[in-house]
Amino acid sequence: MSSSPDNKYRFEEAGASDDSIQQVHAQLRKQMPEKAHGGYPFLPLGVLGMMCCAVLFGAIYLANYSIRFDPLVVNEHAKREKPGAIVQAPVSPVMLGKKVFGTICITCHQATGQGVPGVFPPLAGSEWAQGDEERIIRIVLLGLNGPVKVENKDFNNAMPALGTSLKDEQIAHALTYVRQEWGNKAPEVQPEAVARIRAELGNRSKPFTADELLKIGK
Amino acid sequence: MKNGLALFLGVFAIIAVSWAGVLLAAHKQLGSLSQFRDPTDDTLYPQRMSGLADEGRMVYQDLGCATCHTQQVRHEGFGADIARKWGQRPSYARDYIRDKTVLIGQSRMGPDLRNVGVRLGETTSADDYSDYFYKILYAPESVASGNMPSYKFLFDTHSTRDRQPSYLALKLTGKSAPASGYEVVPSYRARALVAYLESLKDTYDYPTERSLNATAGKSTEEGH
Repeated sequence: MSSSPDNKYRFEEAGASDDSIQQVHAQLRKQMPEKAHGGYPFLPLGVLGMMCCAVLFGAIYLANYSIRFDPLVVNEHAKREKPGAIVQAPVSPVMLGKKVFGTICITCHQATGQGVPGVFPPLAGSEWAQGDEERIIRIVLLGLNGPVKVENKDFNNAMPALGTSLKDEQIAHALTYVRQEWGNKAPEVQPEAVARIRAELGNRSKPFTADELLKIGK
Repeated sequence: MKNGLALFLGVFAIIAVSWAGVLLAAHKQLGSLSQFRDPTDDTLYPQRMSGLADEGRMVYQDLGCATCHTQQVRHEGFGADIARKWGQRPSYARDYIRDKTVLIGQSRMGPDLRNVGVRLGETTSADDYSDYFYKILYAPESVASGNMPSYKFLFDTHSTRDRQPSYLALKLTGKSAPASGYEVVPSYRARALVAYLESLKDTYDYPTERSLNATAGKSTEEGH
């Protein structure tokens, strides 16, 4: 790359050629110290540590909060069954009865089972509700008319017949709910008992009276 | 390109893994959820919305109600939603299967609306509910305090001269009442939206979810 006679002052020519640049770089490279671990020995170790922490955190989080990816679970603190154990959905008559109660009986007898003083008799603590199932099944099936004494208070009203709108199971479940809620303690009512009494009553549609019922059962 | 194949495979793997994680896994987890058949009354839950309510869902979406209102009751031990009476039970995935778009929301500028259809009490009549919702949409300050904006454009104000008054006209009093001789009538969009809001109620408690979400200390019989 020397000056030529045609271009004495090297106008518009590069100051260095590719070869000369490579030569200069080769000399400079020889003067630099060799690095044993490729330059940044601390960084990969730090990144590795951070990655390990992230994976550990993720694993602990998944173990605690994954709820095993069960679509039915939202509560990560829920009681866990062993994986593989078949979870039988426990449907108790009380739970089912609560639903029937909540759509029908609740209107008069209230959610608390206290009824309305002087108008609708209470179920909570009531001797009728916890008494013989023969009586209460008949009340629900055909209704109750006229005066009745509940927890030493007099009521005089009419309860509608629900036998046509409710199935045997629904009546049994609702009565079971009433007999075991609000501190009431009485045995379950079986749907078979309702079916039996429904058959016994036959075509009768006249509501019962309290006196009539007191002669039935104990 | 020197490492074209490696680059392609790397990008492909990243996209494939995230697709599988976000879509496939979620679909495997939730895609097969179906309505629950109640053993006593042979009814399927969650029940389907009425046609008007389904249109109201689109109005809800359209007006951006989900910007300020959520539709998810968090379980006990994770927020006070149940203590605040925003629901009797936590929301489960199954509650949302009737929604084409799950309008779960993301921030609670206003109250949660998942059970707004029973907020006034289960015994409140449908008319009282409609009245309440129309008022809170037309003149929020007349029934509630807070930052809820008015949605007056969902209502028509017109003169009652020479026409029979509408049975849907709002019974407004005080500052929000229209000038005498005028009445405020909800438009079709308002009626659809209110039908949707009234349909928001998770009163049915699925026995399966209930038992699976019971915490260790409690038996499944508690809490009803």
